[in-house]
Amino acid sequence: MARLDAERRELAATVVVYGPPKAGKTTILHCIRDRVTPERRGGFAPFGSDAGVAPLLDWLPLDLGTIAGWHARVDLYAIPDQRHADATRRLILADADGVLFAADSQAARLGDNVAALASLRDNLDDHDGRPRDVPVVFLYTKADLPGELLLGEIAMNRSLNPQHHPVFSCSALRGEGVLEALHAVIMLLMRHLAPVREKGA
Amino acid sequence: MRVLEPWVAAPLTELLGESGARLALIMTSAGQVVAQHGFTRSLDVMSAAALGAGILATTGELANVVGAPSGFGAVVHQGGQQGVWLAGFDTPRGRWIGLVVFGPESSIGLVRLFFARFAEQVARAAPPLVPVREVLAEGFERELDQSLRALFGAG
Repeated sequence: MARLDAERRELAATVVVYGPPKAGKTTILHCIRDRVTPERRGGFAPFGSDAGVAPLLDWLPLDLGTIAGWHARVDLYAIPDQRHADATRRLILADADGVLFAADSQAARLGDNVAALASLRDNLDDHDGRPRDVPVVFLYTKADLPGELLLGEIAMNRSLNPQHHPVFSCSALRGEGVLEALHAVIMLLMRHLAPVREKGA
Repeated sequence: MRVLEPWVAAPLTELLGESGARLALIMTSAGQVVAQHGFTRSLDVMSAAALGAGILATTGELANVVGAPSGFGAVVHQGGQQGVWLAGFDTPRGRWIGLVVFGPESSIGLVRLFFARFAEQVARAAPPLVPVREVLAEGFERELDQSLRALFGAG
């Protein structure tokens, strides 16, 4: 959940990148890291790795700067596919303020997308087990693959997004669409803090 | 050391320095990391946080089953080269958990002693929480949008 420290005028929120295995979740974090200036990667230090092995990027803090007098930060988490995944997934989602759902655009992966979405709904509850209303933005990944392999956005929406959450097609490898989706989910989650609206913003 | 809540840094530094602990992980009872020292990979941090929170929750339930509703206080695993101290403590932000790994240069007694002091210091250092509705200004959304456009290169 969003954390506010009135004394230090700091605001921190959590965005979780969720989706089926191999949909590009960690690639999305790499894409964001590579396109944000180093001084905005709040507190981020490169992870160590064995020679020749790319480090797994699963957490990326972003410093949004000072906004209306508040120092704002967003922690991005990519839910791991393996290794204690069930417990980790549930714990991270319990504190999520917004979700970027990475759905694989390949037609052959539709079933995996549907299963991951069901898993998200199952896990997206608060610490007392009550369902939480958390803003969700869809990222349809791998849009740079040949068209004959892909499902169109309309077909994807029909299966995954009947609630008409915001949708962005992306190629995380080329960096298209990812920052736009992140922008959208951050705006939604901040708007989701009802008091902003109550005060007429 | 990496801390998400800056006011935890000083008490944690003292805990590490005085007890001689090798690793420390402070988390919420849900497993969200608040601070850590000594871990080199974020996945290890997340795994340790999830496992630590799970162990303490399980131990609490076990305490209920065997008729010790006030719980066991702390869980200690003493290995040949390293020991693990795992305990919950109350803060103004809710119940948190500390996981401390120590070697033969320290001891359970030292860790216990300075962990108790750490918990007291954290409880005193926590700044008050202010409800969101009282503090976010009217122009917050507009400024946020502008900031994100600048940050992501669209402005």
